[in-house]
Amino acid sequence: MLQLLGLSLSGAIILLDSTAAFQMLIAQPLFACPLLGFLGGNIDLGFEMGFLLQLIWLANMPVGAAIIPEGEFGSVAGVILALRLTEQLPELKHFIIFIALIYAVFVSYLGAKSVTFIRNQNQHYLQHILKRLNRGNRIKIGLVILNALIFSAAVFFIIIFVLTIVFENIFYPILKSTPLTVANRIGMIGKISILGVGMGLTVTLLKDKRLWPLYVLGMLIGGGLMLYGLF
Amino acid sequence: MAYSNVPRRLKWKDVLSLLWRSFFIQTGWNFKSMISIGFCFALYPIGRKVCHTKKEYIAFLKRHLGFFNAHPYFASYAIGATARLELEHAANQKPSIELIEKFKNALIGPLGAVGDQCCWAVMRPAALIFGLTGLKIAPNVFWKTVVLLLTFILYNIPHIYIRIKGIRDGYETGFEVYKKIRIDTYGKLVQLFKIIGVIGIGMVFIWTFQQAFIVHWHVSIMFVLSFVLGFGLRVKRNMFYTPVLVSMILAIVIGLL
Repeated sequence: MLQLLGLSLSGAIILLDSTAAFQMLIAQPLFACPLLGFLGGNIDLGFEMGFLLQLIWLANMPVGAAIIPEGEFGSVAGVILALRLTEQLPELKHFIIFIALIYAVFVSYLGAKSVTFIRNQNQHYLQHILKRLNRGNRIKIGLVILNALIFSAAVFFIIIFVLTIVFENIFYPILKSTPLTVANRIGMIGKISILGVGMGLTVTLLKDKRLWPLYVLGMLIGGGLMLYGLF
Repeated sequence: MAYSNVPRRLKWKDVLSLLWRSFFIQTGWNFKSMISIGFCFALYPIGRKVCHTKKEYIAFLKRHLGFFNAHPYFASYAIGATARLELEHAANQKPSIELIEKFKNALIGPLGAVGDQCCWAVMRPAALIFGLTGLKIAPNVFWKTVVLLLTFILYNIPHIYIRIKGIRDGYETGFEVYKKIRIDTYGKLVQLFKIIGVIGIGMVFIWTFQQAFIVHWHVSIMFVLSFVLGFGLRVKRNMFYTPVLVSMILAIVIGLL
């Protein structure tokens, strides 16, 4: 329980980087998952999930004021669940990663809802501030910012913590009762399908036709390095 | 249009103070006034300089808590320019408060458009693709950590440069700042990131395909199917969830067979 509290709190703090503060990429799955993996004692799992989740979300990141399902929130929740489950069932690692990816995609909807909730709360802060200013009272704008940060982190923390407890208890018996061979097969095929769909979504980025020769160059470099590794 | 009695350049101490506060520009994001709470927080050091009475301070906060929105990095141009105009207003009673507000509103569109085009559409995905490529090459945890550090640096040096340049250019040019808010200003940077991103995508594509191919030919068909699904539905219908969920369901079905 203490570990889950720590991971949820760390996840909530990392998620502040998403929009509330800094925006230095730390909340992106590529960084958030290994960081949480390190804190949860399984950095390899963090790197693996970070790679897969980043590939999925790369083409679907929020721009401006748009609220889309929060991939960053889903990724943090997903990697925490994966860390908890692999600790109990290490032999099902690949299947757990696949289950955690599905969970991350679904949970991202809740991430979007939580962002709307936080923004509505910020609106209440704004109205409160304006009321106080209209009454002629001074306000400390730094305290308002601090409150908004704490509120955002608290919302993320509570949702991640509760979801992890609920879904850990749902998934654990299912995982335990799945035959190892079937679980490994689904895990392996699932990972490849995520790689495929992730690449399919990612290549739609930077789709300027003038850049096509560079795609080919990238493939040639990649292919060359691959052959160099093989032989 | 420039007014006298105001230093032409900001001291580094002031730039750093504005920079630090600009990192929280979206903290109070709300549907009514968007980033105005964060903008007000960022301008606080200027407010302390120009407001000598409680009444002035309250008026300062109220006028900057009105609607304002911008790209979080490029908002620094507005912070710098508004800082200058507020200082000029305090020194000369010119430009008028109304003019400053109109000016801020006029900046919303260009700041959002240039910021989104430069940072969200190119720099961020390209830096992350660089990270993904590096993770595929890195043989162990040490090198993977190095890759993440490099990705962090690759993205955040230009990111912080944009913020600092925005504050300084905004302050130095005041009303003329709109001339600086152009995608061409960062043209070479954007081009560099595009090249990194596209070459990275090519490399990751080949490696992921190889990863699928070496397992079993059935699995490589699964990879191709998911790829076509993701690419096709994204391009034709701008879908995201459908291809992801369909390929996950397909994986479960094939795994169970």
